[in-house]
Amino acid sequence: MSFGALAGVHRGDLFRPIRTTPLHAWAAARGAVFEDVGNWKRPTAFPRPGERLEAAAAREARAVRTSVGLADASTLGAFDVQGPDAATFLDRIWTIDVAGLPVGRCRYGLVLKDDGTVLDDGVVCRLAPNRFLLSTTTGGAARLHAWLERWAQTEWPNLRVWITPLAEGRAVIAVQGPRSRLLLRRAASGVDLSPEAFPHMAWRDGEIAGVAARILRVSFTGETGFELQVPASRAEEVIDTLLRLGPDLEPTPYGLEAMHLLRLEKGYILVGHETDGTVTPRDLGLERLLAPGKDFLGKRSLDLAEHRRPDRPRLVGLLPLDPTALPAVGGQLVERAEPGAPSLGRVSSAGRSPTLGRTIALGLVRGDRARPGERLTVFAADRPPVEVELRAPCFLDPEGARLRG
Amino acid sequence: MARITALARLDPAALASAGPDPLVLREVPFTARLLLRGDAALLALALETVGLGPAERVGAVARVGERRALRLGPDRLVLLDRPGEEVGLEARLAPLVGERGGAVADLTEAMTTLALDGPEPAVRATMAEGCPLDLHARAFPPGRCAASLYGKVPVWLKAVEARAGRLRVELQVDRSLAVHLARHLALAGREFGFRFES
Repeated sequence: MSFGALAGVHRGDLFRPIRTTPLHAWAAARGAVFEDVGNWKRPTAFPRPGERLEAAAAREARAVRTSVGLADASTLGAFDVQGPDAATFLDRIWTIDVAGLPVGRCRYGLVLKDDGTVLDDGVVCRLAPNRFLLSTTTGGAARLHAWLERWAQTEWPNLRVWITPLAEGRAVIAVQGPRSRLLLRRAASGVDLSPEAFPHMAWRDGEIAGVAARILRVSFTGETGFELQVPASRAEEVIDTLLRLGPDLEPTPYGLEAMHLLRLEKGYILVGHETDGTVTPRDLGLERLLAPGKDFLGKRSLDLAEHRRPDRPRLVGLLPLDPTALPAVGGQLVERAEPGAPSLGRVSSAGRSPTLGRTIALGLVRGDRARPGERLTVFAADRPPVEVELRAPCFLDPEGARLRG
Repeated sequence: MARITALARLDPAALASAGPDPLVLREVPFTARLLLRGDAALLALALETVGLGPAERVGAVARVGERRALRLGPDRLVLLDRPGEEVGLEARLAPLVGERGGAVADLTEAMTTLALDGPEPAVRATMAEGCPLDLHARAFPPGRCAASLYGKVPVWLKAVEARAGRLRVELQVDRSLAVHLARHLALAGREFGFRFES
């Protein structure tokens, strides 16, 4: 039998569905270079004519740190969760306190598998006493949906809760940077954007450029930032208006590469980079996301002897001694770069920080070796070894002052 | 500024093939679309609330004018109506849903409607190419609906009308998957001739 008989029409254009966001054509018209994320196309960066991708990403990331950047985050998973038992249900799924979350606020937390390892992360918004909006990772959205339905349908059928994926209907425009509020004020109506009325980790409804928007004050960049959720069919006019209203603020479209640099500077985890299906919240130093005094999926497993071992991996920051040397992602952390050297961990993310003017990385290192100041070597095939010094996994504004501005 | 539809940037020429009586695919954008979840009693009350008759069995359709309800599963019903009606419909259903522990979600922007029109045998053959359901007229007559797949894409489909040997099938599809679905339908229907009208 031929492969053609198996593939049928699913060749060429129809090989698999290519999903594009409501802002795809907008991004393409601005020179975006796209990459595949699952079935989605997402902008990697918006290089100017003659500009290299890495330079474009650095320029975009700098714009977010110094002024304001705009990104298309429409591929993030979104779920509407409704029903009299919605709070109880989500409280069992998420590691954070969901039942105690006031209406109008959001909270970042984790979802664990029953073995205590991280399945996904995301933000829970309470829209009403019995209604929530979940904002989750792009790549994990389908998996998380299956996970939520499994528990709702087969494990806890007595809970009255309904889950609807909503990502397709809205575009998400991330507006991030110290001037994000200034820019939004020019386009917003019906919503008070002042820090007193609209604190970090809150959501409000309003209008942006005359279009109904749900506005989340959340940040994956470490800067003051907002995410605008607007109807898919009107996303282009909203983002065009934002660009038009703020030439003096130089609003800059930014892509995934800049987003990765920004979150790396802050040490924010990216599911699939810092997690690999074996990593627990404690390994990541995210104990603060484990709400005490309530039960949640995976909680009991966190006390397994295996998960309590002192040599469990631990998330650390890695500073190369040579600030121009870039450690290879996936590279092994060893005492000395020599054949047969036992691995003490791995590099999970790395990049050239435009803000710090040097290379930085995150990695998971054996807990009994994860001491600040410890020096290890990154070893990767066909790459020169890179010496790194261990430190806390946050390279910028550890107090979060920029975030709450 | 005009709202941008899911297939706004799809080039009709890329999908066209010649034939004496070609299939015609149209996007019917911004159909009001609410997904209702709840037990059978709640769904029955919801239909009454919006002035529709019963749709008790999975696959049944209730209809008055443009307003129609598709019973897609034991605990799910989708309401379709003229563009703009979603706001009023949701407001009417919210109290009922709140009281009886169900859910209502507005999927107007999340999906779009594609309508495939043509000679009945050609429409049925084109649908059968990508959909695993039995779509013979005996099993899927006008007035029936189903949640299924077309190729790799989840769709809700409804057979609309058969008059003088012609049939229309309406497909509800996620916004980001509509282009793929349109391309697949164009390929499946190319032997009959195919036209996409935007």
